[in-house]
Amino acid sequence: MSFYQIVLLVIAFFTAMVIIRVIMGPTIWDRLLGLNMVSAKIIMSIVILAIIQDSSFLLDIALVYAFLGFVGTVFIARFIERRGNL
Amino acid sequence: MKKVINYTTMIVIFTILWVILNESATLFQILIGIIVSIIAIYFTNSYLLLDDYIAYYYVKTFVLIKYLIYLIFQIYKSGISSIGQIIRGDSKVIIIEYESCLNDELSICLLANAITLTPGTVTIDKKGNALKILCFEGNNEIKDAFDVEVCSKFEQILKGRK
Amino acid sequence: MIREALTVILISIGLVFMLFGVIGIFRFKDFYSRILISSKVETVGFITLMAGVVIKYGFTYFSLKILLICLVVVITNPLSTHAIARSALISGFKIKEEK
Repeated sequence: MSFYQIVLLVIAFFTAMVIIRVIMGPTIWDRLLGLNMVSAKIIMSIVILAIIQDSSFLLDIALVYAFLGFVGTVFIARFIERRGNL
Repeated sequence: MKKVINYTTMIVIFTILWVILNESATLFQILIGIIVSIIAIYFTNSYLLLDDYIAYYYVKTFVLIKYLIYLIFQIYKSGISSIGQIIRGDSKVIIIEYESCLNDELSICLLANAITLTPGTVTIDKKGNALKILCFEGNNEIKDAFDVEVCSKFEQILKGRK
Repeated sequence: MIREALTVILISIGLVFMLFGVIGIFRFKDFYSRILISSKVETVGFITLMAGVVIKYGFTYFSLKILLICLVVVITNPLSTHAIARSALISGFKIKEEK
């Protein structure tokens, strides 16, 4: 087992912990914060996966995921702020 | 004359992005990059952003580099202080108001972005040049976690933007 | 050899920062304290881990793409934190009174 596979496992464990917060979270903003952190961790694990497989086109997926996570978080926050009236 | 220089800078930046995304720097690839970026700028000018956006978003390169270096230094400082905060446990939060001396939109937005990444503060709301900032209440009752000196340093850097 | 060791050290430091971020969202009782702490530690961990990867690959297209991702995340992460906090404030989520 190489070093990068261990790193990938640790990141997966952290993601599972954050998802517990998302399920538990008392308010909806806690869930949004958890969603934001999960998307950052997914970007990191895609980068580590690109190192393990040594294929740089996986990084394009990480770039697209960064933009999509940002747009998703901002739009859900705005949807709640205006009470469903976009 | 200034317009030509601005458009040339934009074309160079877009071509560099195109080359990075395609992972090859042959002459053919660079040529395609230049053509695609000219088409993109043309469509943006004629359909998407109709007013003069270059004067709005113009930042000097030197100012940008200085801002980024100081920002990264502050990010690390904030990360280390946050770890101390996590170990110590919970504390009270308050909302304070701060009046900035900058007066154009982009500078205030960059300042708010920098405040969010400096230790223990998050910008919440902006009206004109008044910012609402969420921060920890200081435990020694004299000073809040919001650091005015750091903030005015950022203001000084951003003042020479044009 | 030194580069490989430096990469391992930097990635480990980034993982430690991320561990503190995960502890931070369970430790605090109030939503506003959680949002103040967790997003910053997250950004620091991200930058440190990416710096480790860049040192491993040197000056290639791989590391240039990673620098691009890093720039995007550093710009967008505070913006989404700001959006969440603003949404909570406008919807009328009050700061809890201390007993």
